[in-house]
Amino acid sequence: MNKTGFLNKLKGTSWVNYINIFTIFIVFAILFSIFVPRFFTIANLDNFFRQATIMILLSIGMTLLLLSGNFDLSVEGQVAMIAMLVARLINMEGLPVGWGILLAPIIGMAIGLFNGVLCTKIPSFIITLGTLVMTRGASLLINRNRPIVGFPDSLLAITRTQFLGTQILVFYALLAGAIAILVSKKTTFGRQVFAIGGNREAARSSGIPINKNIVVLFTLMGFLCGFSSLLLMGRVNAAHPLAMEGASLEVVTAVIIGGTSLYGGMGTVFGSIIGAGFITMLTIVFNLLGVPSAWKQVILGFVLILVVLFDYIKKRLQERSLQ
Amino acid sequence: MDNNLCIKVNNLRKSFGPTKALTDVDFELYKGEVHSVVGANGAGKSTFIKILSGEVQKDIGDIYVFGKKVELRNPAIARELNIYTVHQELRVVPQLSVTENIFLNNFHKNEKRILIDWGDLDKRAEKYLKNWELHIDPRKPLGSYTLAVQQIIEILKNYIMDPKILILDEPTSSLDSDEVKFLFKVINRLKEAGVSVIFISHILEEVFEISDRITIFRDSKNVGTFDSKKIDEAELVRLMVGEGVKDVLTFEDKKISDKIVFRIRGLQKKGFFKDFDFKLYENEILGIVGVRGAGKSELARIITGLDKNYKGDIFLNGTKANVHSVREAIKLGIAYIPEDRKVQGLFLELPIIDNFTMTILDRLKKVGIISDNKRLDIFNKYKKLLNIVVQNPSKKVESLSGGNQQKILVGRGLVIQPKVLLADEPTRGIDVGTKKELYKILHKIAKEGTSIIYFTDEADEALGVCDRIIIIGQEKILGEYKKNELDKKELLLKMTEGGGE
Repeated sequence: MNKTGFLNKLKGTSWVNYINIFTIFIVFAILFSIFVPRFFTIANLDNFFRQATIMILLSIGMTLLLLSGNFDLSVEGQVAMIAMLVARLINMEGLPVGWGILLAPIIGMAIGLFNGVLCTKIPSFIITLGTLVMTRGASLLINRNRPIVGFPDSLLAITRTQFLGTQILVFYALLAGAIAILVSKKTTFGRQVFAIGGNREAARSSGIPINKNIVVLFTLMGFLCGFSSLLLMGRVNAAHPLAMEGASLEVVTAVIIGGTSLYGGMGTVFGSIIGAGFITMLTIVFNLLGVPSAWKQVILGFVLILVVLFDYIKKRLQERSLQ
Repeated sequence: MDNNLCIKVNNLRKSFGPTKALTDVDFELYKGEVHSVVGANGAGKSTFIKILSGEVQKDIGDIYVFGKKVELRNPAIARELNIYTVHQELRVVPQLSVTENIFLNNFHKNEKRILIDWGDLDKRAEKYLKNWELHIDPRKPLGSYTLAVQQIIEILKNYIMDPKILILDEPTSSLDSDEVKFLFKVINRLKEAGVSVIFISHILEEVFEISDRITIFRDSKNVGTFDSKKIDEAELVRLMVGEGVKDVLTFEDKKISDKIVFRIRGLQKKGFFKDFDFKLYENEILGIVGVRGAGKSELARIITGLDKNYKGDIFLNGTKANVHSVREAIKLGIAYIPEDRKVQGLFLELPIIDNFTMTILDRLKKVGIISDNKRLDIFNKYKKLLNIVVQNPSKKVESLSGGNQQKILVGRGLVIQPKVLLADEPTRGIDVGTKKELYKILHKIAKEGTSIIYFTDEADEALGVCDRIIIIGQEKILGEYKKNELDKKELLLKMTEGGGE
């Protein structure tokens, strides 16, 4: 009875409906602009976009996977391993930079294909956990646990070329975001992804090629990992075997606080981009304030639970109003 | 007050929206009797059972259990009153051992220990199994035994809770005749122990064999309770069907061409079909009729390629059409309206328009991008045809009423302009008005050249809608009739024919 009373009280207040990542993002951004020195500056805005790019690219792929009811834990391992491999090939084995740039996404797609084919049969959590451990191990092996530092300018150019007053890096995320939003809303593939995650049984009885789509999704994720590894190399001018540690779950967190359902079928690419932006914003602010980055994790975890909790309450209210 | 009266129900009423499920139902259950409840589909018996087991709440009426007025607000309350229910869909855990399944609800009953003494429980399980003459190893996973064994274990699980009243909802629907015999032995044992049993079954032969008394439901009412020795099968069916035929479905005559559109030859699937043959003509609505579990959905799943585990040939317009996926079926012009719209049919959380166009997206593209205008055009066309009430097609499909949801699902089948349409219980769970609309639409498209296979277990519907009826059950075709060649009574008798040859 108490619970009902609580829900009914909330029903009268429309503010519940406005609690989502978008409003949280804006509220935090305003608070930070007021209280954090040097936050609201052009230089920092530029910094923000540069840091957010990889996160955004990975959350785009992860959103599509989650929408289809799948999951990829291996993205951090993929990025680290591909970066190490390409770095070694270019710096130590004399591979031309152009080939390296081409190779990175191809290796990613091969790993994604591997994940995808297996995930049509076995839950993706297990398969990609295996891939994560393997790729992380491989990235340590590639240069005996050591990072590889310093790349030719032609490789760095992939991120550092100036374009419209900032580094070109920023535009990759914008472009990928725009394409992904269009694909998810307006193509057969996009709508089928929603359908598979929404109701797999119904997807099968409407003749949707479930396995094919899942393989495509993982391959796409692999492509984004490979591309991200190039961006990471370009941004920090190094490849580190332990790079991106914990990033897979951070990406999943970005996607979920962006409003995508862990059970599939519901969510938006746009929400995930905002989610990724939110996480990046926290990172930057705590850097500026000199607060240990562990605080970022505490706040992020709290926001995650908050967003999901309010989502649950909203859903209950909707169900009630349907009855 | 009669001490032997376990349950007394007065004036029970229940409606779901505009549909009356129970109207002024009275019912009495005595100690140690097996009391069957029978009725055609939709007569109200399953709502009645659900109310007694606390899963559905009554609107009005009084329920007395052992003389005390009770409110069965949830299943836990029913169980506290010693009313236990074995549902048709078994609620066993196949991965756990037989012992664990038996004691699932009361590992710690009468014990003050913290850890479970498995040795002791296994021994106790062994004793129960021996008493019931069930020769299985209680340590093995329950899933390694047949459905019949699982059924018995489910009953045993409820039995050890010391029930006074046990409700068995269609316990025989997936058992063969030997297994049914064994189950009846168990029921008789329960009876001797003083348990009152409410037994539900479609098979009248079984009902006569096991029951002391029989209550008949028709059109949401209890039309009579009889001593099973004082009523015969013909009379029982007469009461189930009723005298006056109401709401006859009439359609303007349509000519059925003699062109064979679709054909199945020598279909075999273990447990369902032995050597099935049938043809489907152009413009025809063919009813495949049978009780639940007779294999109707299995047949539809085979034709659409969802089930590939069978032998036999399927032909469409004379060419082989054994497809491997629904996608292939759609390409050939075979559309499928699955049985359960919420489970197999709709994407409840996706927009209405997505649900409707999901199978034809490739047709609606302009340079790779789905055109919203094309989508809306085709949706509006079918919206008009099907008379779907929708304000905003980008809202979630679950915001629609059940009838409109079903129309979306039917529309998704029609939109591919099929040569053959498989409609598996297309009117289940929707109101009478919408049902009639759907019947009319199906007739219209049949007239225009689509052949329809209509799967149903409702006699009225089969007789009203179909041009020809094939009754299936016991892995066989039990009969084939043209429209007007049989009446509801004969059809029900045929459908419920017992396991005998």
